Amino acid sequence: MTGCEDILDLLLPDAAHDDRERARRLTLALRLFLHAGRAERAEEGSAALDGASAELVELARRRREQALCALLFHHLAAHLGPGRFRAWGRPELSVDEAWRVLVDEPTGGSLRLPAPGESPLAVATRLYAHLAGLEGGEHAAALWGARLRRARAGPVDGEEAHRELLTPHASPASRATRRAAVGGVAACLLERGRVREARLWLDDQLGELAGDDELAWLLVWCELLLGNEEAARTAARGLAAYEGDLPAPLAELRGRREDWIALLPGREPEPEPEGSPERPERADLGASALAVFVLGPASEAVRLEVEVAPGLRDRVDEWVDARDGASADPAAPEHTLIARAAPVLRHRREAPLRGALDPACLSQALVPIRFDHGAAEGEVAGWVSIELGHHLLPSAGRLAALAAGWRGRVLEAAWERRGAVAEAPATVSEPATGRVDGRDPRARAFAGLVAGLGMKLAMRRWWGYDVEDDSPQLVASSGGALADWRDDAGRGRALVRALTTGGRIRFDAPDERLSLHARSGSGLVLAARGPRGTEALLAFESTRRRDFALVDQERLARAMDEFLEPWCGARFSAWHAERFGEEVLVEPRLGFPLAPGDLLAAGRARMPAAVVGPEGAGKETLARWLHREGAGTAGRPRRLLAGEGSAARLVPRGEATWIVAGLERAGEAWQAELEATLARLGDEAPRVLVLLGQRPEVAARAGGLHGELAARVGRLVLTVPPLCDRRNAIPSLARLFVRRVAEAEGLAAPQLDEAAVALLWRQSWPGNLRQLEAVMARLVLQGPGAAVGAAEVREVAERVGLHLVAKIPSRHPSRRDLFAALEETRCASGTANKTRAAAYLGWDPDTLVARLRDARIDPADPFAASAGAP
Amino acid sequence: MSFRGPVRDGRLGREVPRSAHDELSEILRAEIATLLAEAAALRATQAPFGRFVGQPRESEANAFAWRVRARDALELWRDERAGDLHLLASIAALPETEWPGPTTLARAALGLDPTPRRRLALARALLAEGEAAAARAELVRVLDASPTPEIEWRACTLLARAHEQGGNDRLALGAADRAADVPGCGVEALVDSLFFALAVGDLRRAVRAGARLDLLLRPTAADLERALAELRLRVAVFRGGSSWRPAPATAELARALASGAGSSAERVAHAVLGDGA
Repeated sequence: MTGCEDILDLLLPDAAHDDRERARRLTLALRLFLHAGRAERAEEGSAALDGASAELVELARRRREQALCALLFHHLAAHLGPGRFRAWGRPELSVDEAWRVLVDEPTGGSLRLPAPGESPLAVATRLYAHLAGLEGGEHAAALWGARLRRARAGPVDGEEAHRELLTPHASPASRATRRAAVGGVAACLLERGRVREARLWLDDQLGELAGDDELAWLLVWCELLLGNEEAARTAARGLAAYEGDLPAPLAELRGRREDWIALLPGREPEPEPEGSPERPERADLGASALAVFVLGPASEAVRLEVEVAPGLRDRVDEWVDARDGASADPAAPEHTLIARAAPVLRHRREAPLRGALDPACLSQALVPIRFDHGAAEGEVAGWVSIELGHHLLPSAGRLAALAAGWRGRVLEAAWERRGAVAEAPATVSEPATGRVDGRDPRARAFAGLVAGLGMKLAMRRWWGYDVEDDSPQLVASSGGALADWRDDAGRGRALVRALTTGGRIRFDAPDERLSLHARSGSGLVLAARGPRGTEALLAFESTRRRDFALVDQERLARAMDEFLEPWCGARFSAWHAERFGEEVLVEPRLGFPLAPGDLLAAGRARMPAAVVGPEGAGKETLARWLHREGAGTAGRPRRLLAGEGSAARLVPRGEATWIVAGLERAGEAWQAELEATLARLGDEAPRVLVLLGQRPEVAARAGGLHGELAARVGRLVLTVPPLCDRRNAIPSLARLFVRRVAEAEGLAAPQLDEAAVALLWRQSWPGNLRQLEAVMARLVLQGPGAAVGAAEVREVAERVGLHLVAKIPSRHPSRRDLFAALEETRCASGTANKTRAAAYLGWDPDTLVARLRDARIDPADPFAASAGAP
Repeated sequence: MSFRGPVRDGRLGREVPRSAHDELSEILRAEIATLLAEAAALRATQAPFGRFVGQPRESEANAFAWRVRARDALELWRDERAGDLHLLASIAALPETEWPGPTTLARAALGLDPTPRRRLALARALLAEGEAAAARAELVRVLDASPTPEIEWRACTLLARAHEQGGNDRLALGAADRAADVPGCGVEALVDSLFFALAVGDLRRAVRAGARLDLLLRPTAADLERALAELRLRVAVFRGGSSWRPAPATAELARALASGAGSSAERVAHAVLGDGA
């Protein structure tokens, strides 16, 4: 035939391939006609029979190759596990069909069926040996050899094996083999998180991708994973929908990014079994940063391992330092991690991921490592954090294997840091225990808070916890459901998480580990955080699932922030009642001189201080508060009445604070002795808080205070204003005194009406709280349980020698009084009620409006920022 | 398949070896397949996308010439009883507007002559009728069958057009680039590879395609003129004509090329950018 073709080439040098082919067939036909006249025709027939036989053999060989390839597909896929990047197309035969082909063959006996317990990889290895020995199956054997190598040695070797198929010195591969090798390289790169490299590789091989939609989908995914959504959409145009198993990381990504569903088609892979523990290096994950932290006993993040890309090394220390307080930041991923004790997977959308080390990272995974026994079982002991420059986060199974790989080291470090005694972070060992007393000021504060939140309670219950030194104590509980919570108690771990994170914890389905009632359907824990950390916890639980999913969490958070001040007052009041037998009212919003942060700072200071104010204003109460903030809940301060005994013989008896009263009335000698004693004791001396009627330097100039003593206490001066300068405390104080006296005397408390309260409000109270308390005491004793109006108040006041004024002088009122009246009578909506305000002042409304104008305050909106409220 | 001994053919009145008879039957089938493929190509020009699928060699003959050749073939083989001849005869008896669709004709041709060339014709017919996905599947089968270089570059060029029809310029570029890499490829492959590289914004491939085009093709070549006319048509229909702009990454290169309009590559850029350059 070759000669014939040569002749045709000579005769038809410019003929097209088809024309030459037609000519070849015609000459063949002619030659056959000539050949038919010769005697040796039989030889031709014999040759044709041989050809037919060879055709049959080739058919059987192809069938066998097809079956072996299908079995290799199934067994290697089973070995690798579901949801891996493969790009192997689809097998042409099922396992049964393929084995039937092989077993039915005359030579099928040489390949035995898989033995019981024989691993898929072992079977695949045997199958490959047969394929490699199959004459004419070189291309398939080379391809499946590379895939087998990947299965045995991992994606790095697999990539190398696939690349070898494409090298020029390799035996020339068929087009299909070449395409498969291109896909194999890309799949191995993606398996290692090398998305950028995979994209470059596929872009170089565009010619192969043009003819293979499965390969083209790999390119689409690469673009998507690199954040090039538009490029991905363009590359996906016109492609047949991918119908194979979607790799697990992509299937999970599809669940997290629903806007990418159209670009992530394919079947959901079977759930991955948890892999064996692994501790890969950063590069093995394709990550820019890999860090492992241990959660310390004070919720601090302790660095255990940090491995980052070279370009990020300068930022590591700063980032690690910032992780320390991140668990208390609701916007930080660590907060969510600890709150849920579940992996946190984040993808960048527009703004950089907050809390990430790498500003260019597109996705981040924080995988918790939990305590595996003890009271804290299931809580976060530490975590692994990985940051990636693409969206291809490892699958859930791989992340679990990663956490398992670090579990030993993290738990060891966590236990070591917590010591032998404490076996868990802030523990709530018995969340159901605690005294709930409705008369406790803290219980009243919680009840007020819950009422203010306006949450329906028919199907819910709430619990209020006082938190001291990270130890929560139940002080209040109420609600219309779950009343048997003490008998059917859950483990209340949500409280621990709220303590650890200082933030909101929510669960939307029954979880006996988290809930206070074992059968709660959902729950929510809110924390009030002060300068010392978490001060109070408020837990809600409901009989219904997802009952708190739609609650405005931000509003609740704001309410908890605003709750901090009244809460600190209530807590001090409870302590005061326990130590000194009476409640007090010390809320800063009612004019008490210090906010919680300032109070804490003043209380923790060791230096002596002067508490200055008029008689009966509450100086000693403030001093006690300072003592409590500084010394804690244990013990009580020692009260020294100046002039009694010898100050020279004063010795500490273990108390933390000396409160010195009446110093200005004590003689010069006693003051000098006190100063000498304090100088002698030095650091051994308790903290000294002196109560003065005027500032120390003023008292010293007037000769009422020893100069050196004045200098000693004058460094920190706290002023308690007279009651008339904080009128808005008067109604609350009046009710407090009425209740206190009534309880002490065992009488019913009288009810003050609006006119009575207004009358009390507008007095100047020169005797301050003591004077108000005396009037209230007389009211209780004279008319227990009675309704009390302005006339009854006036009558009682006259009896104690106090003349009550009918109105505040209206000629030149102070701005403070104007605003105090407006504030006290403010509507729930926040607007001013001028009629009520005028009644408190003892004026008619027109007078109030005129005086507001005189003071350049807009009567229509007196609380406007421009009004200049004091 | 074969057997021993001669057979008797009554019509010819003499003994003819079966193998020779088979060969003649094969030639007949190939002849009919060629005519059907030509008919498919002629019919494809009337299909919705027929003007954008390139000109196959078969359609170089016009309808009149095809009818002459069909009549000759029917005359030559009139004594044969092949059913396919009846199909050819019935088509030849009808006006072109009443012929079956190009895909039907091309499938008939492929059935008679299952070669890559006929499958390529089927893919072209499918593409002409707007069946880009089906056309791509056929083209992949063509390319997997280790075709001759001529079939390969034609198949790749058609594959690029199929992706272009689907709106996927990136894969179109891949296919066009592969077509242009085949030795002896046609002008349209070279032109398309440059055009798609400019459209996608692949500067590396655009520079390479431009250099290759200048190296292999004279700017005055008649084939280039025809390819440019077809490209202009595609740009007008698929991409809004003069409002089309290359991707930002290759915009500067495209502008520089279009301002020259001297070399082959420059003529391509000028053809698609026109005064917009």
